[in-house]
Amino acid sequence: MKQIAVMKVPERVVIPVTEPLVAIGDTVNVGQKIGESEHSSVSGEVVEISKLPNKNALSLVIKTSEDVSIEFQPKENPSPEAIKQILKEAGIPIELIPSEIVILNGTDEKPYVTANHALMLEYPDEILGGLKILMKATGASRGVIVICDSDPDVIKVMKASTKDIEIIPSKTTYVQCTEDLMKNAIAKGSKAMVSNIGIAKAVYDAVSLGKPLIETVVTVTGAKESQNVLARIGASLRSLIETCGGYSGEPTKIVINGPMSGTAQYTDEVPVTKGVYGVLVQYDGAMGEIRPCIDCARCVDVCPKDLLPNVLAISADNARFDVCVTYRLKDCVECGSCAYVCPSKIPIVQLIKYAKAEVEKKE
Amino acid sequence: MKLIVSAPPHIKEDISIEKIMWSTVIALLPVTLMAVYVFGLSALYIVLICVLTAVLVELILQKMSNKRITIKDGNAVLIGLLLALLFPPNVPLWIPIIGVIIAMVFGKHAFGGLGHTIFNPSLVGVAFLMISWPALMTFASTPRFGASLPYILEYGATRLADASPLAMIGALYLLYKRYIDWRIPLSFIVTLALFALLLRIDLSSIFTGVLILGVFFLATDHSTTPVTKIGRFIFGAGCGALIIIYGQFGNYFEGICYSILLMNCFTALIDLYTVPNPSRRYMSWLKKN
Repeated sequence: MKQIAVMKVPERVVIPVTEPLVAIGDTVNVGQKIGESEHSSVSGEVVEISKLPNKNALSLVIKTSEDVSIEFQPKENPSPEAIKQILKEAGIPIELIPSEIVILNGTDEKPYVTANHALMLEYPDEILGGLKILMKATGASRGVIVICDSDPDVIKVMKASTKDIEIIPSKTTYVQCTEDLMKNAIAKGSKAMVSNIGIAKAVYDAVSLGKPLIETVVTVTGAKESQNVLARIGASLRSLIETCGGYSGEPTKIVINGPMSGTAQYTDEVPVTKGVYGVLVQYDGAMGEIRPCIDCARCVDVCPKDLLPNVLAISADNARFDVCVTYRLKDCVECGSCAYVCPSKIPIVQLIKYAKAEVEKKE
Repeated sequence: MKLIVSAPPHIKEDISIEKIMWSTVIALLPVTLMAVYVFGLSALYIVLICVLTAVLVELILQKMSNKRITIKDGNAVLIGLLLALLFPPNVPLWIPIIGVIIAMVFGKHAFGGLGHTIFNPSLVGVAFLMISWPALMTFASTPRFGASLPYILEYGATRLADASPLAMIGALYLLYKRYIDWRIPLSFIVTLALFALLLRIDLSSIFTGVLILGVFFLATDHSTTPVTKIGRFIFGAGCGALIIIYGQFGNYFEGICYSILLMNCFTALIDLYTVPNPSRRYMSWLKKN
């Protein structure tokens, strides 16, 4: 069975750019550089440069015409320095730090996101290649891929494809946000870099094929057919959901990147950007009524960072940010586990984010 | 298309205060039924009066203070039921009414209601009654002795909860669902057993229904117990040790009530000193304030 459906080329794409290199009316091709680290994912005409739909950055709107792609030229056997340059040119959001171990996080937020699972089944060699390139660029001697132990198929495929890369099965829990916990558990003090499967694939594409990052695998959940889709950067969520058969009702919430720490969107016009790996459509967004905290300590028991989320939430609610700081507010990774188990439905993560912002303001 | 924008997480566990409270009430139903079987209708009257008064007092208080009516969340029912199980069966029926009013008014709502209580409301009620009418709070008439099955059916029981310690097996379900915490009962029982071994106390004289009620239902009340993991162990151990002290110099029923109440006093302090990953920062913050 094919793991990843390919999305048909969208009619228009919206790509946020830091500094546009093209003007309105220009014709761009697939893979053409249009911003400092952005590339066009389609061929067509630039019709608009505006601050839509996210008000923070400029966005290029490109109307698609025939798909013409520029030729990708891979460099032969690049040096670590050259790899860094290539990755930067290809617009891959990764920070290469010299380290001894490169860890790829292959775990998924199940059952809502399965993008890593699909990628590893579909492109095992590319991912291993990407990991080896990363190891070369960072000078690492050890490569590790962490995979959920509930994915024996993936573990089998990956183990069959490699001998020198370690495959570490991890307990299937919600660890997506706790990359530094993973780092501590595996590296045990030595320098390590954590990246993910999608990045490794993009790194391979950039270095071995010369292809910039213009596509990403997104798990769409909650549409008529939930599946993994290879989406062009800049395609709107609506076109993505239409690829999966459209909405199966009146949606109340659209979430990018997993239900536990993802961001709810204002509109389905929002484009897919680099770093999007999941889209979740909910038809019943009711979160239940907020009741007072009863100090049941369920949040304390689940916190991966050994914090006291109940104290943080109550102090933030009472604007006692100094107390928040004493109770290690900054250690919070906003994984959402505490708010998930809360019987009083207190928006703990929201309160913590609010406290963090206030503390930052004061500094 | 109207979309909701809210902070993550966007899914939540299927759990609520209502679920916790009503599950606890259901876990207590078997022992209540056993009490009615052993003591007859008087036990039923006590239970009904306690539960109804608790709900009524909460309703009146919340109506008076223009607050949201929360009688449906089961907390009032639970407080009433826990209190009822601590009475001897022949108590005059006005005693439970006063006890429940004290529990609800001064135990729960004076502190701000659900989640803000400092002392276990049910125990506040019992403590008040034990000081005010000690004679009425003990079993006066001769217990009905018959063929009793130890721990399952105690005809010699003197309080409703004593009727059948093993009928509180529902606590295991609460532990499994993590509606109550396992650390407090564990350290409670271990401490109790250790002291009993050291001081050569006959454990069977301590092992009563009221003790089981105390360990699994009164000492695990969420708001009045520490939130830190180590803190909960300390809380349970403290309760266990205090019961032995009270029991050696007084009686074990008072020991169970007062030890938990006394440890409730220490909850905030225990929490403050057992913050995970302790560093000097907490202490400096303490001194500053």
